[in-house]
Amino acid sequence: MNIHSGPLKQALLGLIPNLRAFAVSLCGDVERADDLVQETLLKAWNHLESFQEGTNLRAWLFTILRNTYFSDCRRRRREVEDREGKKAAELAIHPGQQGHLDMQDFRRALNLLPPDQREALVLVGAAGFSYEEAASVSGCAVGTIKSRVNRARTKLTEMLGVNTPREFGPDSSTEAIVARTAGGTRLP
Amino acid sequence: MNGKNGFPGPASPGEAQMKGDGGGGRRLRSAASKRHIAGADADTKMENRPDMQRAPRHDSQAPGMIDRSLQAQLGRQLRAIFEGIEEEPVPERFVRLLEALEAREKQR
Repeated sequence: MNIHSGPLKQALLGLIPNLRAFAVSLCGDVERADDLVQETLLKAWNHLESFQEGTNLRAWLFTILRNTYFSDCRRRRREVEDREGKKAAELAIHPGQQGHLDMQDFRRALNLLPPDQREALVLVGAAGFSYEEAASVSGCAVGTIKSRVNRARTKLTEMLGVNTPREFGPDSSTEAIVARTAGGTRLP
Repeated sequence: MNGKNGFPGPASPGEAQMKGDGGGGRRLRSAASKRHIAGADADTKMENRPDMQRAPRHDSQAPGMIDRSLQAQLGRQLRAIFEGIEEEPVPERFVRLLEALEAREKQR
C-alpha cells in the first residue's frame, strides 16, 4: 500500500487550519507561521515511515512543528533576544494604551512570554490538548507543562497589569471588576 | 480542555506545595500593589526581576473572584486568536504543495 495515497493528503489538508493556528500563536507572525507549517508538511511527508499508524497524527504534526520552531529559535537566539528586549521596553513604557485589556495588548503580551511557556499555554488553553498530550508534544514531563502553564498565566496577568484596578479603563466590561477589587474607588 | 472556561486552572495543591509558596490571597494583593513602589524592599525587587524562570509567588493561591474572571477573559482572548486563524481558508500554497508531493510520489 502506498502510504502517500489520497487519504494522507486529505488528512494533512484537514489539519492545516489547526497547525496554522498553533504556529501563529507560537511565533506571533503569520508569515513565519506559514513557513513553519510548510516545513512541517514537508518533514511529515518525507518521514512518514516514522509515524506510527493509529496514533495521533495531529499530535505528531504539532511535535514536528514545535521542534522546527524551537531549533529555528536556537539558531537565531541573539536576534530574537534583541527584538524581545525592545518589545519588552515598549510594553513597559506604554501599558494598555487604550486603558483596558484589548486584543492587541493581549497579543503583545502573549508574544513576550518565554516560548516554552507560550507553547504550553497554547497547547492546553487553546488547542485542546490534555496536559499529558501537551507533555508528549513538548517532550517534557507533565509537571513541567503544568508549571509552564501556571507561569504563563501569572506572567500574562502581570504584564497586562490586570492585578491593579487603576489599569482598567472605565468601560462597562471592566467596571464590575474594578468595583470588586477596589470597592469602586478609582485611583488618580 | 481544562477548567470551566477552557483556560487551564491553577496548579494542584501538591504542586503548589512543591514550589514552597504558602501565601494566601493577601499576598497576591500586596505583591500587586508593591510592584508600583520601586525598591520598596527585597520582595519588590524579586517581583521586578526579569528572570522568567523563577517560580511566581502567587502561583499556589486559590484564585479569588477577580482572578477567576480575569483568567476567563485571558482564556477567551487566547482562544479567539487561535480560532480566528483556524477559520481562515487554507492558503493556496499548501494545497499546491500537497498536490506536488502527491504527484511526485505517483511518478516513482
